Amino acid sequence: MDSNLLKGNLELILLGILEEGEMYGLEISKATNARTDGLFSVSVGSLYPALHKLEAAGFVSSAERTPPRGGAKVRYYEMTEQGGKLLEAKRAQYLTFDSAMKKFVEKEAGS
Amino acid sequence: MKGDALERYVQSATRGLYGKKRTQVTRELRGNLEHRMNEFMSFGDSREKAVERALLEFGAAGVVSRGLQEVYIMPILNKWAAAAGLLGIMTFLSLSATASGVQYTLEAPVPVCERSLAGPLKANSCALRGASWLELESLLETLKKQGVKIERTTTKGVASQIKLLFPGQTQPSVVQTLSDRSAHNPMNFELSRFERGGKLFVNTTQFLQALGESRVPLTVSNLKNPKLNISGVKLELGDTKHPVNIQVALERLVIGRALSSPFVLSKESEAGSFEIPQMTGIFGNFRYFWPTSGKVRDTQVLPVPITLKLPQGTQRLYLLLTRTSTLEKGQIVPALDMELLERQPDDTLSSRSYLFNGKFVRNIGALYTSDDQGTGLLWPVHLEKPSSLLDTKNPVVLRSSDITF
Repeated sequence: MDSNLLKGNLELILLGILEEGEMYGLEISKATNARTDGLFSVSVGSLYPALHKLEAAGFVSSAERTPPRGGAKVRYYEMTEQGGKLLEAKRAQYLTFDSAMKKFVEKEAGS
Repeated sequence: MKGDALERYVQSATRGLYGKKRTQVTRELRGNLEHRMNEFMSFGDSREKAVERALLEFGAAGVVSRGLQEVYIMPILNKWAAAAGLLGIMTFLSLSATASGVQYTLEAPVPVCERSLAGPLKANSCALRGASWLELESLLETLKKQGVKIERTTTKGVASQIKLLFPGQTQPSVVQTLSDRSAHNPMNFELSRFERGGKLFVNTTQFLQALGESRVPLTVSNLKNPKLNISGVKLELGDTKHPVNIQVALERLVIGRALSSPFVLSKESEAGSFEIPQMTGIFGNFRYFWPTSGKVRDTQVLPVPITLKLPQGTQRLYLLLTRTSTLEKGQIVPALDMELLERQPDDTLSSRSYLFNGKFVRNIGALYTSDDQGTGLLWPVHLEKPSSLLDTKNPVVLRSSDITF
């Protein structure tokens, strides 16, 4: 997968994952990889800048606590109402883009 | 030892962040890494192997660090820059003009200095990386079109300074067009101004400092090819082919303003966060060129035994100099001056020198180190014993909240 494609849609991916409920970095990384059957491999490290950026903008909120299974405390991220609106907007934006792109792909495939 | 690798990773990934935010991100990264390690270990990996695999999976620490700094540090730097009040400009090789119509050059006019001790430097190598000079008349014309009032002052028939009064302002920004420093000070490596082809060029940094000193309201959108708004007057600097970078100019303003403002620097322990190269001694034989007189003079720089442990990622080191110095002809050095050392391709920091055989002596008041993300540490220095310059255990972190502009 072209990393630029992934990077360009990282907000959409993260919010789409957090729509399922609050998670911490490691869980988000795993969920991303699992949901895309490994096509999207998002390292935990690369998630943090994006998560913190979303939080600084008010699209997610976070809180530190111990996971149910114990161990070190981690920071859980949760999508805010504002984040939900952004997710919908990003989805619509992506679908429009995808729809337009398909026309090029189909035309090329048919030619 | 692998545990150390984890700590090194976390330190590196959070470099550039300060205070509570760094503590928070450190805990967050460490917590996630430990959980991942535990998972690997539950499948039979040794702790060492688990650390190795977890770090590999998390990705390069530098990527994390750069990403986080973009979120937390760049807005602070921009805030500082805006508060400091600056101005913008442009540049080009043989002369190019930006969208704003200001002609500029990135090309130093002369070989400013040569270093014989460690091998000769190429021409222009002493000019600051990213330095640029603005052609004065085209700059003034651009400003005038946008309502800036311009007053020229002459001393003994020679243009000495220009006052720029921006719309809505009462305090003019004063741009020096001739000064003792320019004419006589061999430390003037940056070439505040020079003439070429009958045109006068003013160093962008000097120009920005003039604006900063007048505290005219200013916003800056980028460090590279910045777009500036000075009290409503707009200037775009640089282009993709001949980029103008004003990070150094902004750092100098921030440091200068910080040191002259009535605020208390807060100390923050950075113990354990310095690995790094050591730099021993700053000295050499230099050749100086006075652009105004055309004279060349050789001089020796007094060897000063300095050993610094620099924070990783340091690209520039500022020596902040105090006012107690005098030039050999009795001229007083400004209250606060800075000399700048930049990291060279061979991974050393190259000095522009600052002490002369007893004829020209300046005291180092502090050091400021910065990386390419615009963040830095201020190091208090007392030059009573040159061989023990630095209190390397107690750098002072400059925070935006500590500075009142």
